[in-house]
Amino acid sequence: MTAPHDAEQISWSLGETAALATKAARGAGMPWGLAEETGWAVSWLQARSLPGLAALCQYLKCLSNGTVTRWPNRPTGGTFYCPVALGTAYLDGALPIDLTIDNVREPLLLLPFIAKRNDDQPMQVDFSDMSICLSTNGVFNPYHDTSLLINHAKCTIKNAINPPAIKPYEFVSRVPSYFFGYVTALDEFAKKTYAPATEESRLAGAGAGLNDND
Amino acid sequence: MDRQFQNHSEPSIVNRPASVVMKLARIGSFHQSRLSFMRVLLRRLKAENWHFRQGKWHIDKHGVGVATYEAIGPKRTYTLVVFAHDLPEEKRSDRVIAEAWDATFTLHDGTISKDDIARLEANVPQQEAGRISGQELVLSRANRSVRLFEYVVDCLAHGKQPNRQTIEPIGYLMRTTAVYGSGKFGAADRSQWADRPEFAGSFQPELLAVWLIRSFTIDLAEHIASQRAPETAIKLDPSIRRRIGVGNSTGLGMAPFLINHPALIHAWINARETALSRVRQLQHVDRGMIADLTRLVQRALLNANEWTTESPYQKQKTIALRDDLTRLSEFLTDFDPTTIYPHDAIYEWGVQNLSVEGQEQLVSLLIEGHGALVDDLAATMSADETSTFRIDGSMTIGKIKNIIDYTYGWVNKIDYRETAAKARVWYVSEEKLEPRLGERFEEPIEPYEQPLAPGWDVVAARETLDPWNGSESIASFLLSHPEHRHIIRRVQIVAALPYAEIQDNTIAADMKPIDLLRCKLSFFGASKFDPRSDRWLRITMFQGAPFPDELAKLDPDDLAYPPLHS
Repeated sequence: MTAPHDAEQISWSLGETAALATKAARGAGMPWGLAEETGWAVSWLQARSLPGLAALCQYLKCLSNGTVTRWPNRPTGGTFYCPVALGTAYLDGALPIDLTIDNVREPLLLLPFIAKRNDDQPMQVDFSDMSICLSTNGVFNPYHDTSLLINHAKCTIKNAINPPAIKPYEFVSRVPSYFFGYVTALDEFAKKTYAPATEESRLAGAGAGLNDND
Repeated sequence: MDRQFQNHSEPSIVNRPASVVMKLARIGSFHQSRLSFMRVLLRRLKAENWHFRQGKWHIDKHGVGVATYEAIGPKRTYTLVVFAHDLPEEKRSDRVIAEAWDATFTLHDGTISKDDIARLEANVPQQEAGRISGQELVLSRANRSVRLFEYVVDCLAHGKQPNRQTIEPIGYLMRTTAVYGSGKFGAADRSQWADRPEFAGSFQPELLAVWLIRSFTIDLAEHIASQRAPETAIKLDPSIRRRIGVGNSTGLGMAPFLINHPALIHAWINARETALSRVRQLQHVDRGMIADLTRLVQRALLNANEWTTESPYQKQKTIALRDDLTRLSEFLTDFDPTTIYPHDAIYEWGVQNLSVEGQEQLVSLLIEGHGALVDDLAATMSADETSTFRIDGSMTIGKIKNIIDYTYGWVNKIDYRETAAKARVWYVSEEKLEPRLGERFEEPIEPYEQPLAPGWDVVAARETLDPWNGSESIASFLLSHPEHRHIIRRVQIVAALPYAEIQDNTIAADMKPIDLLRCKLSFFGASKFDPRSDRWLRITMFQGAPFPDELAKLDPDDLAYPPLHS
């Protein structure tokens, strides 16, 4: 079969990216409400040229390996915090503004929730050996995309005192072609939300039966 | 909902409450109105003096090839790109699981280059299996009407105009089977074009594409006729041509939309209800206005008489509608035009004397003659759903409980322990990634259930909330119960936007998905509804509307109902 498109020409809209992330999170077992927050967070990151899709992909792989078992994850001995469950609790105000927490999976996924809660107040987020400052307006992030993808780390969130020069976000409206591998992997998680087709469902479920070719 | 009238001697006319409006049977009886999106589109295109031209026409004698149509506005140009195909009869299906169509389309942002056409040619004919780009706004496809396309081509080839009586009940040469926009399959996100004035409201790029598709269907039929019989072929008479719209075949894919976009649905229905209130609040109207309304009722009856359907559900509704319109016409003939608050009196008579289908037709007809009073509401019929997405975690549990008990009082009438109350499951099939409706107790589909039963979810959340202290924040509840996050978000949205929620059981054994489809399609502006089962239907769009070459000289609003004498 001829490929319908040139791989280098592919890009994704942020809307379909959010929808994919939501379905993938749901497929990996998140409740709908958190899956929706995941979609929002991934789209927020991608719109600011941050690799949200990659972080989600890594996180859902951990999730499917069974190392995170409940929502929200309250780590006891060797388990980890879900960045979305933690992020939403932070955004909701269930957690204090200044916070240190061990064992957060893919902490990049926390950033949208931190920025959203604190609006234009710059916040400093330390994880691993990195330190990022961000607000809803911009970010200080001197790191490469790949170094932002961290399996798990201790995270510290606090008001940024004398923050470094925060640059406005580099907004983009598309997810570029080099995310193809992550999109494909997330598609596999998303598929878990789809019911296998049967002939009965094909007829009954969609309500066929009358001739549609007239 | 503002209370406009405080004086005791005057009627207290406010927007109808959500408890009356937001019932499946009622929203499933909505009719197109002057606030419907295709009518908003045509009014704007005319007011802004848009121009239209056929760019390319590389179509062979079999009707295969590429064509382009440009819509040129004050600031921007959009191009409909058409790929016309030779589809074997046995492959023609309107079902979303189809893989080939008679024609495929995309609406491109700007004028189009050769390279773009080549890129689109590799993708658009494949529809969901292809990819479009941020330069495209819409992806669509259509099939020929077996009943009408060949008949019209044959007539034209023989130098005859087709019979209007044959055209009227079908009303289209081609039927679209999906019109995708807003970021789907790679298209530009809505946020990329939402601030363009030409797209204010809802679904404007999609409907611009459909309106241009209508022109293509006529051009194609005339082209094939002239290729077949160059000596004798003629073009369609404009008055007959105008009675040809575009069909659309729609299934369950559209149904969850109304539930998944609560803020948007509120905006749509609030605009329509506000328009109705404004008209009912008119203390006096010109004598001629009642006569105009009477004629309009008679024209609506002509339209209702043309509805054909095999659906027993719609059949009885259509019969009632015809009877309603006949009696309404008689009532108006004897109506004293000096009556104070005349439209309110007519509306109230309708509530007492008409079926729900007839009442909702009356709502559209009452609004129809009052463009100056209501057309500004069209600009309010959109919503930025992201602005209502964030949960207010500081809201107390006590307040949430109160909102549920007040706003969701309707769930008390449903006993979700009963099998019939939760007989259905909304799910997405692996095959075409389309929403379907299954039987919870007969199919192994429950693990795949979509969150499309707010009533049931609210009952579950309310039960879990019960032992929680009312002074605690909802944030602490959600930390322990993330499984209720989805519905708590919704409860907060619905508290502020009363028409955001359908106050009915969307998973009941006797729920009719067709009601959800009908509601949405009436806001699009569909003028004929032909349910083919309780889950899919065919409609006609733009029937009677002017074509691009007529827009400058004709009033699209005047053509929304069939003419009385023709």
